[in-house]
Amino acid sequence: MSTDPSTSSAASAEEQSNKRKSKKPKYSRFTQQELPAWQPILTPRWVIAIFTLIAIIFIPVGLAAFSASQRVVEVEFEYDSTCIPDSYKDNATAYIKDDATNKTCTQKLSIKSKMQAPIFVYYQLDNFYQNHRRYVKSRSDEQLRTPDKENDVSSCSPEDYVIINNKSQPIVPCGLIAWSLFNDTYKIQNNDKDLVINKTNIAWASDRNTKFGSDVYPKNFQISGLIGGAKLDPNLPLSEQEDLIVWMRTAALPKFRKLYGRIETDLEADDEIVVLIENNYNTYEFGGKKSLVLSTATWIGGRNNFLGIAYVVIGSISLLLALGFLLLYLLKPRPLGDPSYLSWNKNPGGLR
Amino acid sequence: MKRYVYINDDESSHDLYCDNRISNRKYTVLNFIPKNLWEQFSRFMNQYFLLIACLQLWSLITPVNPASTWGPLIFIFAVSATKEAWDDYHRYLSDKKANEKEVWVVKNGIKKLIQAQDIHVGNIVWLRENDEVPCDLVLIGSSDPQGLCYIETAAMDGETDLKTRVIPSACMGIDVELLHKIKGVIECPTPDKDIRRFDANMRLFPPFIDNDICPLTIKNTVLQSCYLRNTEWACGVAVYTGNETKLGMSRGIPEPKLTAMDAMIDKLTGAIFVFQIVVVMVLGIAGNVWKDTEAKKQWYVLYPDKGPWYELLIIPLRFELLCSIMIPISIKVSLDLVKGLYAKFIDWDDQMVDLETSTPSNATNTAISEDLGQVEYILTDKTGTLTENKMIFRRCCISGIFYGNENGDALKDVELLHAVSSGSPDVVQFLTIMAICNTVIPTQSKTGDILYKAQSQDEDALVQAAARLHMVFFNKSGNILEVKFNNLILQYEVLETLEFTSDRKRMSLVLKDCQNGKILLLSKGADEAILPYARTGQQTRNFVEAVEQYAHLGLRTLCLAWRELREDEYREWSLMFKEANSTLVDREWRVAEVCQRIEHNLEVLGVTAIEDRLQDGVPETIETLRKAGINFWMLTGDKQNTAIQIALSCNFISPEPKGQLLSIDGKTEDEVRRSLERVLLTMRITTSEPKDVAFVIDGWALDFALNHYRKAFTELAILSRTAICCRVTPSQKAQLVQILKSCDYRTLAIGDGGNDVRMIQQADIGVGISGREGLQAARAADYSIGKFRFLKRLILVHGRYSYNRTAFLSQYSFYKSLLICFIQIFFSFISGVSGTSLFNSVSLMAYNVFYTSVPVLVSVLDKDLSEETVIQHPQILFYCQAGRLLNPSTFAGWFGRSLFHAIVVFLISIHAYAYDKSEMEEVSMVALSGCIWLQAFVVAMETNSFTILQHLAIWGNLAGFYAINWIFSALPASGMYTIMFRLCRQPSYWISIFLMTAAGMTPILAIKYFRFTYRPSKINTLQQAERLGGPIVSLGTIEPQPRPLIEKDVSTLSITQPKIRNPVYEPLLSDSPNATRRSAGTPFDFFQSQSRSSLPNYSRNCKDN
Repeated sequence: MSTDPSTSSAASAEEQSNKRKSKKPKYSRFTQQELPAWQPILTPRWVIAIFTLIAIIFIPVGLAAFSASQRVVEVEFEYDSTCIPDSYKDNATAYIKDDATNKTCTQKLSIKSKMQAPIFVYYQLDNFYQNHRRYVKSRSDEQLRTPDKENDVSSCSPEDYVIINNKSQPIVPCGLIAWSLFNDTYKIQNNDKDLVINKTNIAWASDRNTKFGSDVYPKNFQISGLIGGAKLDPNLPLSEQEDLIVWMRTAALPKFRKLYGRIETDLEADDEIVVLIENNYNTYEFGGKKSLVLSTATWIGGRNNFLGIAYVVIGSISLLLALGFLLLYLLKPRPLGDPSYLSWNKNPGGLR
Repeated sequence: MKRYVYINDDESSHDLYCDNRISNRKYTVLNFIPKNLWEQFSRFMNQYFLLIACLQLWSLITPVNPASTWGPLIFIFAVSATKEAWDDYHRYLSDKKANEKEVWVVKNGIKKLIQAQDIHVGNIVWLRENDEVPCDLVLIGSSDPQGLCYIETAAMDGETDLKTRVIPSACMGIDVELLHKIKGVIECPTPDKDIRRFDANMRLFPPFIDNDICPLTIKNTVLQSCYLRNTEWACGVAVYTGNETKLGMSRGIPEPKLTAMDAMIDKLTGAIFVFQIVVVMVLGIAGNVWKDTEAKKQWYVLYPDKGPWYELLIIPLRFELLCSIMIPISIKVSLDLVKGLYAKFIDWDDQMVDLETSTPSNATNTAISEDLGQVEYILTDKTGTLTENKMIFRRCCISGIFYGNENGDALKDVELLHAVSSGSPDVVQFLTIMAICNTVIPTQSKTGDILYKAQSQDEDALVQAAARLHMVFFNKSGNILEVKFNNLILQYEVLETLEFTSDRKRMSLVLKDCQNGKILLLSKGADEAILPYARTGQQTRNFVEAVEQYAHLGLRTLCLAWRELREDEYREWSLMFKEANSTLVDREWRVAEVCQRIEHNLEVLGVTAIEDRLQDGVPETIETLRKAGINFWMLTGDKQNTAIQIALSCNFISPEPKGQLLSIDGKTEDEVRRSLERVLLTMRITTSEPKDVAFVIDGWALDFALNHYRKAFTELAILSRTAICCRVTPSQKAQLVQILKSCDYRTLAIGDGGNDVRMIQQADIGVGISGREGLQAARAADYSIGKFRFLKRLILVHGRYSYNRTAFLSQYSFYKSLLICFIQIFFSFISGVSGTSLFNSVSLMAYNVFYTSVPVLVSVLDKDLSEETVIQHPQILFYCQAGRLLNPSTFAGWFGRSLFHAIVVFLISIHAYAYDKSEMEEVSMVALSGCIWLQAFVVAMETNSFTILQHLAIWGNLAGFYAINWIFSALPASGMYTIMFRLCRQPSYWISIFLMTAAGMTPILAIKYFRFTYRPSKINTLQQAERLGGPIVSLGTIEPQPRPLIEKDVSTLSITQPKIRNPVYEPLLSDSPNATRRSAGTPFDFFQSQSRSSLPNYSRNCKDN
């Protein structure tokens, strides 16, 4: 006979516990959310140190970048208005569209300081939207790569086919980008001697080797209908049409430079060079600007003060913040974790 | 509608009713794809993404390859479809297992072993001991000579005790061999899901017995999924099969609960959607204007002079697609993933395992963990929830003599022992009732001990106590009860059992004393169910006093009474009783009425007092959670005094000088109204005082309050931090939850018994205690825990962490999407507003799916404060309750951050990569790298504790970004061939990236540091205290906060307008926890308009209830 009042329940509990033992979760630090953790907090020391460190690194780097950028010698000549004869000043578009007019334009430029080879020759366009959606998509990478994909022009409309003898033939290279290829040409003379502008290897090697096929030749390009920009030599494979390859690396900004060639001789300070420009490209219709740029390069690239200045600015701001926080810390020290800030009862009656 | 089941008639019912094939499957192989797609597309987000993906198929407007949206979309759909399919496959397998189980069934008069799925209605099924019941059966035979059998119903209602089932009287004594040939008809109701009722009739065909109708009750059935125990064999007629069984009918898919956080995220998504539309319209118009003015001049674009009719739409649609990433496609998947993990953490938690029974906690609902952190009201049951539900007999009062008052244990009271041994008739009668007036089944264990199987803990306590007072109830065979009193064996034959129901609040037995043949009525029940029926002339004042005295001590009382019945009186009544028991309609009510006719004129013997001990840690848990700003309501079926005593002992209410208990009572509507108004008035006055004011109301008054003075009661509910509602019914519990919910409070209901199920299902969060009253509550609940004290950890640790983590994760998801979207928008300004995408398809797709989703997923391991600190300073929960970490103003902060970062990244990219470097693919990768670096540092800065996994995810992800891009850069076919190799060799690339990181993070670090040090939130202060190793001082006791004025002024706050919500503009700077409890915003009201429009409807519901 049972005398313990809890026998029945205890017995059943034990029975259950045996049954359920297996259900008990296994202990692991992950399941218990007890993985060892690094719990940093923003102490004044840390924060001031971080800001100081940023200042210490950023200001010198900024100065270095700035000086590198300053060392770049750059000659820029904006010729879009200069190269229009006075008689056409009010009607530049008509001038540029007229095949009969003489487009050659000559200008003397003086070199301020010594330019060491290689000197990069760029053309710079402004207000030209290579990144426009209609434009940027109007190309066929497949077609550029292999001759078999000649008919792969679906993305190139409206520069996809030409009608020859009532038969539509695909244009190679198709699309607006190729069609609007820049066609101004430059000649540069120093001391009445032509400077050689090396136009090989101006495009990316990867583009020449892979993206533009060495067995793909221009076909039906700029032969009828609206003529856009430059024409291509149908006997040269696309991989050797480097101007086209450079042009087809579309720019992300409406103002951009593209490599025209390299001059592989030094230019001395006070040299007077003469540029002969064949001004063919129509930027007048949309009020774009064209410039010729000669520039040397350093480790940071061409002349661009932005990074240097930005680094110095960020570095200085960090320094100021570090000093500010240091002052605040010294003048108004505030103990961290002071329990007096924990009064849950503070009931500022005015609040709400 | 009725169903007629012809017993053992193979042919007639085959076509009429389904076979016993169980199917829990949601899908079939054929309908899986359409049905699953349909379900997924019923969600707004998915529709949105599908629309975007379809628009992208139109190559004229798509900025990127359609794969960048289709890929993730198909991935997400595939993941949830696979999950569904997997679950469904497992359901199919378990169905198959159940369906193919072999059972013995009589076919054509011969017992055959067939598969369970081939059972048809009318078949006779044979079960052996420990067999699972394959379908709902009406018993017709059992190995027990008395026709009894025992079943375990754990799978159905979670109760682990054995229940007795008995074969109908008509089948009593039929020979085993004849059972094969039995024929007859059972008239039963159409299938329903009520597992406590089965009102049917049976008529056996000759030659078995005359065609007398035999009533059937649930006692004569064994239901599907039960187990046959302690019985060699039993057999029964299948009445409900397949999915039409009681269990099958009660199966259902519960309504998904939506957390406050999900609602907020939806609202913010809506706001972003509106923002997106505005951006699209502005840019669309700007784009069209630019096209007409500028682009026509740009000859190289070759715009046709006349476009198609939809020309004007093209640019806005392009921008729509460009901006579609503003709403991150990954957020739903990320949230589902982390919510699953939160639930797992609850399941895994070692500190929430009930060591007594080794029951781990379990999160059944994996989607609502964040709500735990936002609980404002806890509605708790008393018995079994706050108390252990381990009943111990402590005191009694027999014929006016109090026993057990001196030492608190009547079993050791010398006087009582003396009275027992001297055989005082009243005491003996009292003990007899204690021992046998119940439904307890004694079983003899192998060692000879007697174990009692009781359905009610009170009965168990009484029988155990009687046994210790030498009145041992040791055997029950059929209707014969055997009791040993001082070595004298007494036998009683049970004639009728008048069962306990919660309406009658008493149970009685009619039995025949086998010693002298007298017929006795033994009753036990609540005082108000017994004392009014005392025989005229008996003084019950003594007993009333005893009941009051015991209740005052927090003891549960039962009154015991008896009377002798005359033979004819019994006979007459027994006919009525039998008739009532065989009615099909309103049987319960009819039976109660008939019972009433015999339960009067009782000789009240005495009062028993049973102690129900408080669970461990209950007062501490309540105090801690109270400090956390959670209000407690106790809803109990117990008496007012008992409830108040328990409430006092577990810190629920404070004793007099500090606390004040206001009582709402009254017997009539008018009295209740006056009482309610008085309490309300007091409550309004005292809210300004630091006093613990609580109100107590009983079920009777509550009925009036809920039905006639709902508005006043609602106001009272808002004002009162504490309430005790006693003698409430399950439906009233649910109504109270409803009232609090209608005032827009987050409610958590916790209970352990079947009477709490409705409340648990109704509340925002239902917690079930897997305790002694069975698992019914735990099954219905979203969370089940072993002990009340685990609630503290569930809310403060799991709820709080979940809230914090989701708050970060969701806002961060928007941050990163907005970041990249803003850059696209800025880029459109320098690309002729034409809708060009700066980023290529691969980057856009990988950005959401790989680059930014991994680091944020490990934020589920982040802990802002250690668990100990949170438990010590529960007040910190306020930040979660008030939604301080996710609301329109914090969201605005993230919005501003993404705008700022977009500006930084964009400006630096286009300036550092200007002139000759301004190549599209390069600029795009520089900008993308900047975003990735910034987001890594943002995650790092917002992480409070770095485990190894976080380091791996954050920095590994950064490395992964380069790895993925190098791979793409190595593929000649990809647009970004060699780009990443070129960039990584350029010093200017790295210089630009570090510049973006520094420029983007410096201001954020400065602001964060300043706030952290000079305007610290409580969380910050605790973090500092905890991590600097200083002592964490708890500031003594916390006075209850008077509620803020805004909530006090309820008179202006009618029910139609749930609660005034204040936008929080400086969420982390405000000092007073109660200053602004709410933070849903008017600025982003897009989706709220919907809920507003449904308000009239909803207010009507309030009144109707």
